Amino acid sequence: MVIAVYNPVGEVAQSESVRATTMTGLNGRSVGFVFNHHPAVTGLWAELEKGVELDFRPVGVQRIAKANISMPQPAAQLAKLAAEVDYALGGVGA
Amino acid sequence: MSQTAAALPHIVEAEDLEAAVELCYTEGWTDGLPVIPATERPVRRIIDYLGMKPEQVIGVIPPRRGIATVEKIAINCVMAGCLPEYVPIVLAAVQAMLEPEFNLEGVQTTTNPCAPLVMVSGPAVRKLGFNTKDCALGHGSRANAAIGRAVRLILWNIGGGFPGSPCRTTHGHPGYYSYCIAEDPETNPWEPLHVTRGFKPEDTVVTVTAVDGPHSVATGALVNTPGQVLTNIADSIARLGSNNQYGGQLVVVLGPMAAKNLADGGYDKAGVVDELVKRSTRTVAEILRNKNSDHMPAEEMAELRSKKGDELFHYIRSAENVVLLTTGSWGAVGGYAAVCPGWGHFGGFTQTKCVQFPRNGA
Repeated sequence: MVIAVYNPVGEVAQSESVRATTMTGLNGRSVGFVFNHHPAVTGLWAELEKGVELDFRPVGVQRIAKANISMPQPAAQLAKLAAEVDYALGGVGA
Repeated sequence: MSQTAAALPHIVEAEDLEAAVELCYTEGWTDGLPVIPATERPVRRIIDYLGMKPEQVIGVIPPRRGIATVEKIAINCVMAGCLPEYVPIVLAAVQAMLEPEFNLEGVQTTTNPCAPLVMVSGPAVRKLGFNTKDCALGHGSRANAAIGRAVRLILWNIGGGFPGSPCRTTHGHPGYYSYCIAEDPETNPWEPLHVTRGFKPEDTVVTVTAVDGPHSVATGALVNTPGQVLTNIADSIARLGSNNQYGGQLVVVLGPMAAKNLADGGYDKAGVVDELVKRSTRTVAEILRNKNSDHMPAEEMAELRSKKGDELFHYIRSAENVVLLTTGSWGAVGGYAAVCPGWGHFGGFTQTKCVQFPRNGA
């Protein structure tokens, strides 16, 4: 007796983000750092920021220090950062 | 465990019942316990009962961003063993978890063992046969078990929240299989949970908070004063290893003996919570000795470091952070309560939804 079983897995929603853009280089551009201050990666992140500033000599640096290591940063704040910098790095840790 | 179902069609044929059960395992559609393979008739029965369109989208479940349609929810409910009358409660729980403040993506993926605890209060508790007596936080009732399991299967199958990737919870707990309880309307000596949360007495309401498994507390309610009962509960809240040292919310479940002890002692619900806020403390020195305290928000850490070592540190930042309900059996001298710590200030925050039953529903 053949049994027809319904698949419980849903389709994946397409991302609402705009299409990705490519950059020709990072030198002399403005950078944003979004860091959640997770204790496991504070040392690593400090070195990452130092490395980016040394290697790519950004014309401007903006930083967002997340108040909550797990909750998403308010979208409006991220949107403001995105409007003001050429690229941004987001720091997690787990 | 992984799923290949993205490549599978909406309906898959199995040669018999045994093959259908195995199909659910091989495709990664189950959490390890067997499920009821969802066939057309029970899925259709649920959708007809709801009176909703099968393609209606309830939400997008993280972290996989799976689209939870009414039909997909109905399929997972069949797999869990839900009767149609249970499904409005499942829908309310899903909608509650999808509120941004709940941070479901974080709850699904964190290393912390927080799982959504579905708490039901209102007339449907008795109408649908929820267990609020012996083993009220465990097994023994189809309603508790199937609704809790349906929620977990939805998070698993639609949301992609299975262990390894991306769910990184270190240990989890058995509530990851099913975590649904109900408030006892008869033994609760105060206003019902849903009335406390702002709903009408005649509403059936779902409250969801992401928490640990229950930590049992022997309150000694048969022999202790109300003050000692509260101290015993507070001691279980103020643990060095509890994520509530980082703030956030928690659930306190009183057995009826403990609840009666407190009510007879003149405490109302707000009074119980106020006392737990006052009594759930450790010294600042103890907290700072634990380097893991650095998970607190930066401004809280700065303020903490400015205090003297013998000052008291409060685990519960405000009364709004405690969900208090009464359920369970009378028991013996122990007068058990249960403390379910939350995830700290990171998410899983309490959300409440009124259950929308169809006409002639529960």
